[in-house]
Amino acid sequence: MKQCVICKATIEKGTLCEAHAIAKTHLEEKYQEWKRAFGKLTKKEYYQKLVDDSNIPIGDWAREVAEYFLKEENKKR
Amino acid sequence: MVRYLCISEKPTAAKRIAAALDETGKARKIPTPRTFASVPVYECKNNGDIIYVIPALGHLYSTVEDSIKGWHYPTFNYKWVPTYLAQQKNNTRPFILAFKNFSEKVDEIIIATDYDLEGEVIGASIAKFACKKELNSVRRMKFSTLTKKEILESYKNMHPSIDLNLAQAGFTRHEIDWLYGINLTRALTLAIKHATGRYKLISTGRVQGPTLKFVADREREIQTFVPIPRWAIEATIILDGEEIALEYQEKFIPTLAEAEQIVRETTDTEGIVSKITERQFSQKPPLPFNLGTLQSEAYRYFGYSPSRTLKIAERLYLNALISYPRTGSQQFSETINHKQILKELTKSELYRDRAEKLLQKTTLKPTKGKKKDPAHPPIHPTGKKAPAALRTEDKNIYRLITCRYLALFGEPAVKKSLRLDINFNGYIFFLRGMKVLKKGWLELYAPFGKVEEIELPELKKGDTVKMLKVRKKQSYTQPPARYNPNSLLKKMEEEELGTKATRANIIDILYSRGYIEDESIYATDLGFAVIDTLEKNSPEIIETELTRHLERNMEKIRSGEKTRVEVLMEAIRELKNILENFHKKEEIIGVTLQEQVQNLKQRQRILGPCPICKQGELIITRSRTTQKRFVGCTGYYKKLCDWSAPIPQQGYATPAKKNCPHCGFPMLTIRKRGKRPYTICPNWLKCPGTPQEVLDNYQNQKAEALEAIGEDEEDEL
Repeated sequence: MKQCVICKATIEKGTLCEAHAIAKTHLEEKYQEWKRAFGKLTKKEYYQKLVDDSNIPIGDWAREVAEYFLKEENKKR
Repeated sequence: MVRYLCISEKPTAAKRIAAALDETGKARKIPTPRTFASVPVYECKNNGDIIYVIPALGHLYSTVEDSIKGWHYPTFNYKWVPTYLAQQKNNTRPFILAFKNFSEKVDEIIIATDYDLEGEVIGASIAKFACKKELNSVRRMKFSTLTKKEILESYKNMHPSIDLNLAQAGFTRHEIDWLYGINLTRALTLAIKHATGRYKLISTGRVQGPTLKFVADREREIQTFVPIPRWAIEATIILDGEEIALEYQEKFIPTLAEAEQIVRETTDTEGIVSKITERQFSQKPPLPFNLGTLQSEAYRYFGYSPSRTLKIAERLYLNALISYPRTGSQQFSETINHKQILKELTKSELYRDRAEKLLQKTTLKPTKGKKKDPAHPPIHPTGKKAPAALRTEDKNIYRLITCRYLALFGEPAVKKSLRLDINFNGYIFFLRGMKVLKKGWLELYAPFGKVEEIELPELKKGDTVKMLKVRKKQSYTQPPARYNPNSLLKKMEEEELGTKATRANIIDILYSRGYIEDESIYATDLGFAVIDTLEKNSPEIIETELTRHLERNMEKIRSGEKTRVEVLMEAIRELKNILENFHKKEEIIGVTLQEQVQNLKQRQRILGPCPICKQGELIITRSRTTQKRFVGCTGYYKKLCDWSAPIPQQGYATPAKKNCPHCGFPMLTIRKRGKRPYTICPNWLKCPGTPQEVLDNYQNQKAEALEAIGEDEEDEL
């Protein structure tokens, strides 16, 4: 049985449960707007901001995905 | 001489009706046999006739399953029985005995319950089952206030029979609600039982399911929300030694570079007043209160939940202070004597001036909205002077209703808005002012509907001002707001879910089932589990269309377009289809639901990464030997970390989703029934944030000591 890499919920396919998959889509969609707002912003910086700044009104599920992606980005280096 | 039995809905109403009907104004409470000695029975004499007024205690009859097959579904066999048998509550038995006993002594039965769907069912079921009368031979008193005048009028003009269509619609609603509730709840519960062998009661209903879906959908939006950054420009000027804040023409700037440019190019510049715009507009008086708008304003001014407001309004109605509150109407009928009500209000010091002023008008025409309710007028005061000993919450609602009523007759308010544009180096900033020129209805509605006036400095076109400070302030787009009991009630109203009488109760049921929590409502994990599973496997159960269609059918019974049997059979057919489809997927639904519950239980245990070993996660767990609850690191299983700490044994512990500001440990929230939730650090024994006296006072270092120092959750919100 597969599990969501973030919340360990049982899933049929992919790596994320439905809730975290929706959050992932939102994160990816909004990245372009963040890049435009700041002029220049890498994905890692984007995730870092979302994870570190508690004043950002990001949803819990979206923040969990950002945390996961940030870990993945850090592993790459 | 005719002997009547008058069925009232509640003891308070019975007392008031009896006092109004009795010629002396003092109805006699007569002694009754021991079997129903607790039931007040009033004897009234009126024009040579005798009327026995006996109260019910809400519904005395209810539906139960008429089958010996046990816990199964589908089940479509039911029967009406006394509620003391259906719900094992014995306090209604004496009331039924009283009605049975007196129905044999009288010539006629009168129903004097509230004139609405529920009232009709309460009265009709007593007349039919306890008094054994044909419904078309039962008389009906219809009134909207419990004032003596209106009760006497409704007695004199009583209808020869009850509103049979209304009663049929009421019976049908009860039966359909029962059929949907029992079948869907059993289907969900048995799905888990059959698939996993475990028993977990999962309930849903015709209105409950779609309402819970609103909350769950909103929560999903919030939890997956990713904001977009934006910048506001904040500026101040100084005029006559006073600092005045300016607004920039665009509320938000979408890019950092643009915001920086505006700040750079306007810092230390001089601005010229380039334009002054003045606009005068009138604001019409508000519409009369129906239950929805009363609940909304009560929430706005006093923070009362819709169900609390309804309870208060019902108390005021039973005290004859206001008209019947369960109304959707926004239109007064011509028969209501506003002049009389206003005259009565002049007796109260608080409303005297306003009422007297209105009485000087040649015509008294209240505002009217679109919504009609043929049974009852909008909520209004009866004019009866409120006793000084009213509870504060009753006083508040009474005052709100009375002030609103007075405001309906007022003139429009006239306001003037001013905008003063100042050009700083090509960038337009502005000041906004507001002045009430004519108070009109605002004066009548006071202290409610208060408008804040904003004075503008005296500047004219061409004047120059110096920019004192200008800066950019970063903010973010915001997620949608969570529902509160009031906005959820409004959403139900918009979507035509439930009725004005049942909506607030449905919200309370969702709370009591543990599907939703808090004033700022969020779906609990259990609530999510139910909605997720049903969405995937049986979406029609939680769709609004199904229940809306049923509501329309009930309206059709009321208007005589459809018969009770037609609607009932249609509902059963639809339910049968839903249950057949459900049954085909029962195993998968059961397994998924159980998995969801398990997954969510698992998620509720994880506090966050362990700050000690940085590899495991801190979880709420129990000792296998002592069964005591504590927080430990998952690294323990891999022999990486043995950190653990005791936590309070009482209450419901969940991750607080934030870290301790003193030691960085992920915190947890403890919720106890009837107490405010509090947040604690699991590292409390070593956390620098734990006051020394707590550790000293509680030498045994019991984790319960933390309750005293736990951060109050609501204070943080």
